Amino acid sequence: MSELLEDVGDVLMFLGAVVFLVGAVGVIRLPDVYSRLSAVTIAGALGTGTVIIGLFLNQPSVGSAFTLGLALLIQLATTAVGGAAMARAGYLTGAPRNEHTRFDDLEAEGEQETAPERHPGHSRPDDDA
Amino acid sequence: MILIDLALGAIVIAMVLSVYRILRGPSGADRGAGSDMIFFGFVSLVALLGVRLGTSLLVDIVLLATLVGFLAAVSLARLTAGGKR
Amino acid sequence: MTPRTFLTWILGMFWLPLYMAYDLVAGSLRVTRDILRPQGDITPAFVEVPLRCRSDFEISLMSNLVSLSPGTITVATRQNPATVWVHAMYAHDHRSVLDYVHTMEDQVLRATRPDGVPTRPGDLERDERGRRR
Repeated sequence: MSELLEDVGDVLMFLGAVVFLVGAVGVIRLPDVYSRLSAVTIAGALGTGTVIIGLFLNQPSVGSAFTLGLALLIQLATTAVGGAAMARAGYLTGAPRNEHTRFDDLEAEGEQETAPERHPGHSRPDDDA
Repeated sequence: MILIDLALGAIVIAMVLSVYRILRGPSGADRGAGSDMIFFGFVSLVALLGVRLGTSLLVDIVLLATLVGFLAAVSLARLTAGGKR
Repeated sequence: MTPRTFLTWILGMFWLPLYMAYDLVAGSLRVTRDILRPQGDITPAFVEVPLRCRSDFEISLMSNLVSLSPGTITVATRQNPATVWVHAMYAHDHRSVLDYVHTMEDQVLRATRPDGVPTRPGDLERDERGRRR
């Protein structure tokens, strides 16, 4: 039983590493920053997440269930929060975008607002009141 | 065990590709995306080494690495944005 | 709060992680296809999506889940009225992106609201280029 679990864990870790490699190829090949951040999401959430699950199957115990469950949760939060923060930083610093971009609602919003400080990309939660 | 060795190799190749993206740019956010990839690769490497070396000590280090990675990703994005927010 | 909506709330809390796992795998497969093919068909766009979320927790959960699913990423968030600006890799028109985000929002609101999910708002008026009138 435990041998079978270890084999499944090994296969899961290998699959996670392959998904990670696909994400890295995406970071090289995709055309603009926002698409590349999607590839980072694939690698960080699916790839590393699968590797962490595979590690748990290799060493199953109550203690490692808590530790690795928490690690998986933090890893998912890191990819989500870090990706969104990096996309926002790219938009604010005017990173070059794909020439096929269809429309930009955020730009239209910026034109309507008069003062540049009130651009929604700049708004912070505590100055809305 | 051969699967684990292949997985280690795949992660290392992925990290080398991310280094290429960091060197190439062109914008700061691209370099930030590459650095995020390097850190996620580091977390995966620690997890894979835990199986390769057959020790359970590295389980705690995986948790610590994800915690540090969260802080690194967020502060790197703030750094890339410069003064704007 | 009726017993029916209460049951939906309890089930929704268990359903949300399963839905996100499905969404993560499906989105990854779609982006992977574009990474590995020589010529991907990527039509990116920044889309403004009005939300039904009210509290801070709902809005931040929603924007982070949009970032977590591959192919879409949150670029900016506004609190009042609740809105997110989403960069979508596959935006053939506004309607498809709005449907995608609102379907995810249905799952989130089912898990956070004990008293039922409000219906979807109508879309803003658009011309064929996607500009607001």
